[in-house]
Amino acid sequence: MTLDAGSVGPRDPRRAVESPGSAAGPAGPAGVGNGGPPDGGDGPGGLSSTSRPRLAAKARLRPDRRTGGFLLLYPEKGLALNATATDVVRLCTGEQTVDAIVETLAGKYGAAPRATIEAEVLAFLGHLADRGLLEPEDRVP
Amino acid sequence: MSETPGSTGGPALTASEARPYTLVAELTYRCPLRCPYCSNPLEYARHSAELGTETWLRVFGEAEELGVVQLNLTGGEPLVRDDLERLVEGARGLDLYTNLITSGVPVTRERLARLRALGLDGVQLSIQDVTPQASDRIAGLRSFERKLEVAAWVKEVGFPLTLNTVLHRLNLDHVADVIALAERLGADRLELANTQYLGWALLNRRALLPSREQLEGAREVAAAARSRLRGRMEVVFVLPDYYREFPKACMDGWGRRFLVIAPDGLVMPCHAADAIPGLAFERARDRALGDIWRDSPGLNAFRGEAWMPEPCRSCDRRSVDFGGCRCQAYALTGDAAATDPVCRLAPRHAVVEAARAEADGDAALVYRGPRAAALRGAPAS
Repeated sequence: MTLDAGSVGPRDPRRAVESPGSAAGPAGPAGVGNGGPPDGGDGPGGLSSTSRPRLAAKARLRPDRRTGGFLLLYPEKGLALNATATDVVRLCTGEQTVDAIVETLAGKYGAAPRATIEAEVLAFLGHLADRGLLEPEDRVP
Repeated sequence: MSETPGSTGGPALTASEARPYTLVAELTYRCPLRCPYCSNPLEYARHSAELGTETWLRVFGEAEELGVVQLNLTGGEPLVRDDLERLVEGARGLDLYTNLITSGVPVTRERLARLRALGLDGVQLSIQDVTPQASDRIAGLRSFERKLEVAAWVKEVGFPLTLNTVLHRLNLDHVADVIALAERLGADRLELANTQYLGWALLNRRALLPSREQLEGAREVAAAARSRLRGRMEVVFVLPDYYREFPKACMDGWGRRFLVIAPDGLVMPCHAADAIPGLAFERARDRALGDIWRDSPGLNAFRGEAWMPEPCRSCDRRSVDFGGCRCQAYALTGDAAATDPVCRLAPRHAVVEAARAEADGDAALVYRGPRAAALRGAPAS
């Protein structure tokens, strides 16, 4: 399982900028889907398995009519999500813990070991948190 | 033009490579500010009538069908259009993520709240500097205090706030204060964008181009703030390409990811491309946007790599920077197909070195305004 998040929405075109073509904007996508923190430890963005992540109000999920996938849009930018990342984003309601989100995904995509799924979910959530796409109050475990 | 998309001699891009994600809708060239680095054309005052509401709404729909998901409503000052509410409502109906890019001058809290309710997603507000005196000097209008008030309203009515400060010799030393101000205002995002030297900014390049020392200092301050504020406020620092080794990936490639439509409906790959003579751009009121995106000779002129000269053509970076900025190549060399002269490998790189050497903070500023249009054709270097 890999949670992909390539950047799509370049920034304000008027002062052209960091090249968005390569993956995911300023901080880079390197962390996404490439390992993550140890089980239960604090992930990027201060998240842990007991955090209850909630998507920031400024972020909006919409279908991508050109790919059939989903895009997570925020001011002047966007992330292209694969199916798993889309599932995670939909579960970021502030109600569910990271543990519960991982359970849901493990049930749906049973092939990967749970620890791997958890590490990838935390890495992806950290990626969102770094971009201010999770409500800050919900990043405290 | 040919009716066959991608027919011979056409762009070397496949349909999936050339997909616009962002429509920059320049709703008007009217603006209360007179910034000497304005990105509108020098001859903006000569442009014909603005597109009407219905045409813009049709264009938004056609853009969305092409794959556009981000809409920047800009200008000029988009708030001078009294149909902005209808445009925002229409964009929201298409599920476009809609950003208002504004000077903040002509707005009330009530209108912001109304735009929020109609589905506007975000507001980007310009701040020219960190004190009323310095900011108003660049804006050419007493506006700083008003902007701070507007920034507070933007947050109060629930928008994410982007602050944008265009950087140059006269304010680069204030970047730490700009960051502090942005934090105080609760900005979600801060764009510290060094001036791109085209149009009005090129006219004012001697006065605006910073020194390398200034730039390095500001860059370090911004980098530290970016780490410190990660997750709370995004800090974007855009280097001026006159001090880069290689060109930027201007617009992420010509006619590849962005569509810019001028107030009179001209469909362009960037806001400045109209300044390049000999390129034929089409008007959104005359033809469907999808056809223009595919067939416009102007949009196809520098798509892909076939147009590239050496050293670009055999350079490993050609798929990274797409050859840099065509408008800059034209402005500095007279040839829009030349290697972007900011590249250290460019045959004409010396013009950029000369520009750096002649920078002078005491040079007079030429403010944006209809009269200064007579200066068009002033020496570029």
